[in-house]
Amino acid sequence: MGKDQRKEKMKVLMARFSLDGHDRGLLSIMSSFRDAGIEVVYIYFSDPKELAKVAEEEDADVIGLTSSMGQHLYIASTLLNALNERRINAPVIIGGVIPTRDVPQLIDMGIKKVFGPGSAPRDAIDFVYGLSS
Amino acid sequence: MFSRKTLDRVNEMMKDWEKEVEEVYVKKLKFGSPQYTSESGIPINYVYSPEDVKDSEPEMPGAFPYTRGNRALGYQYMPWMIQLLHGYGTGEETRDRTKYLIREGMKGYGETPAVLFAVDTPTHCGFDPDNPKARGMVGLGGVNISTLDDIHTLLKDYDLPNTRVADNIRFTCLPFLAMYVVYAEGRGHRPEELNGQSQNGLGNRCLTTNLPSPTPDAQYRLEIELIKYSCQNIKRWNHTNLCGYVFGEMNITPTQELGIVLSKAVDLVEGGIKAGLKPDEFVPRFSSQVHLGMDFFEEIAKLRAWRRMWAKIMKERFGCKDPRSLQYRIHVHTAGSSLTSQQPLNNIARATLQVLACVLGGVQSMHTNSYDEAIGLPSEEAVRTAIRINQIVLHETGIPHVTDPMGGSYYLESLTNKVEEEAEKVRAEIESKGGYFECIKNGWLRQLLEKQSIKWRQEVDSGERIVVGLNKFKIEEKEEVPAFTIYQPEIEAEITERLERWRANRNNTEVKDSLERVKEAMSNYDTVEKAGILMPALIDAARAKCTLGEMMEAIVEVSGGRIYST
Repeated sequence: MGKDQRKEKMKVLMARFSLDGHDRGLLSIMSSFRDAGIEVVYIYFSDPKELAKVAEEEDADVIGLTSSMGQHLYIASTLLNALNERRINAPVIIGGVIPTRDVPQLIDMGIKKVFGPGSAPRDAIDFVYGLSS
Repeated sequence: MFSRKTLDRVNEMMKDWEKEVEEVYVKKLKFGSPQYTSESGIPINYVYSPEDVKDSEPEMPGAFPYTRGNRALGYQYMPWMIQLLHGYGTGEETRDRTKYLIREGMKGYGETPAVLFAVDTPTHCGFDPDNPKARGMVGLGGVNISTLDDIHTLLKDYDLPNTRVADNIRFTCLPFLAMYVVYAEGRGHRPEELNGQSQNGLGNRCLTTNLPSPTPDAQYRLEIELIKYSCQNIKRWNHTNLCGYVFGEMNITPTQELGIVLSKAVDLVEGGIKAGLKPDEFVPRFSSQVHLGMDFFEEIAKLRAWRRMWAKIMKERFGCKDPRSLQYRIHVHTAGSSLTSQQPLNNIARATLQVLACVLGGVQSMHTNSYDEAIGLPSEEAVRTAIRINQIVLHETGIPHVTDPMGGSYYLESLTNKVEEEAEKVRAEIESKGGYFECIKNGWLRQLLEKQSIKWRQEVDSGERIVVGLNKFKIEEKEEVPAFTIYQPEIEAEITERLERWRANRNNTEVKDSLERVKEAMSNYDTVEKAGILMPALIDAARAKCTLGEMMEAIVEVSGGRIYST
């Protein structure tokens, strides 16, 4: 048995709230999470406050964002603010087309991990399971 | 195509060849004989001979079924159009980029300038920039358009009748066209003088981006409405871009792309007939945006099969007689999904091969991707290089001097037949399930797309599919190509402020009344047979200075659809 099976069931909330149609990465990562035994809750376009509410109700272990059109700084800060208002501490990760030069700013803001172009699904799975150990 | 005697000789030679492979390579050298397949899964032999094409009919360019090209002469008479989809930020910024591209060589046929602009997602979906749903996205990935002023900013320097205006808009192409007609009217032009195209591909876009959009039934009616209006009022307008590109970007195979697009074309031609049009009135004005990926020969075969299948369907199924109805004009967009952000200069090699495939396949027009498009918006240097690839192939290589240079290749002719066969299976399957729009409604197409994109990821992760620089031949990236970015919050504020001024300078009673009439027209427009009643209401609304978002909201309020969930 691989180490994945030994962990408790982790739950990831995947969310879209900016109008970005690029969902191929999102589809792939959700499929990989499920294959790795991680529960995925997917929220179709919604507003950040609504997302924070769902994150609380679902008691998500991780919140995943996607950005492929350059809106990463905006959506990261908006969601983190909405989560802070509800005092939700679940780590937020972000994937997509994100220039390397913006990574330090995202991390400073409170994003736990950035999965830029070329990241493999395995990296994100390891991150999620790393939280539960 | 060959005499019995020739084929007998070929068979003899083939036997010798097989014997040599078996005895020398397999037995002595332990060659593993891998079975190659094309991207679409068509088995590929190691060599082809006259035997593989013995049943093919000889063909010439400019004659039915146009496999070898629409016209007797190809690039000798008319080089392909170099058109680059572009746009970002405000109209001013996009206009500057258009000018730069035109200066470097972007053009339509002859000397006609082409303005092929991308819009941002709020514009695609019909959310005005001051709508909370548009937050953070205004001016990203394309120019924002919500008012006639925005169109003016973009197009004020162009003589409209002599400019190819092609908007790459997803769901709001009908309100946009109404606004463009009214804008042109303000500059003294009648609709019939205009020249350009609409995307008119609502269905494609809701499938591939899953963005908020009207219901599939409403999408169908909106597409037919645009076809009817433009066919009766703007003769030179290419009303519908049959876009396969967006499917290719979700890793759909070349034969699936062709089959899906043809199934859509069949639905639309049937809809046009129901709306009271004769096929020869509107079929010649379909345009296209074909995806061109990395499987070099299969992509060439696809382009050739595409023309042949189109010609057969339009002639045999719909009884078209006008040759222009049978001649499928191909615009290609090289595959964005084939680009890597790792070692980005490698993308120039990818684009070059794709441009070569396009030219060997005889396309009319091409968008060539820039090498930095996996990183962000393309820089000026990168788009210039993309244009230069075209110019090098056109002027330095001699490749365009011969029409359909692959014609007669045993391999390519055989592959063209196979691609046709496989694509027809896909088309027939969709038809058996009720057609393209029905397959949007019942989720079949979306499931196929999701399956295909996940498959790509799995193949890359397992190493079964090699992507140079991504999962093989990797390097420690020292310096990345800087991402070309814009300062979005400032642009969003500027654009929102402009909209406020626009709203303050109009008669809001007229706005309200005209939007009511749009809603009324949309509720009356409940079957495609009634096409033609919505566009006049939209044109009146555009005259009353309604915004793109207001018009779209009026439509969707009646049609329903998948809307932003709050």
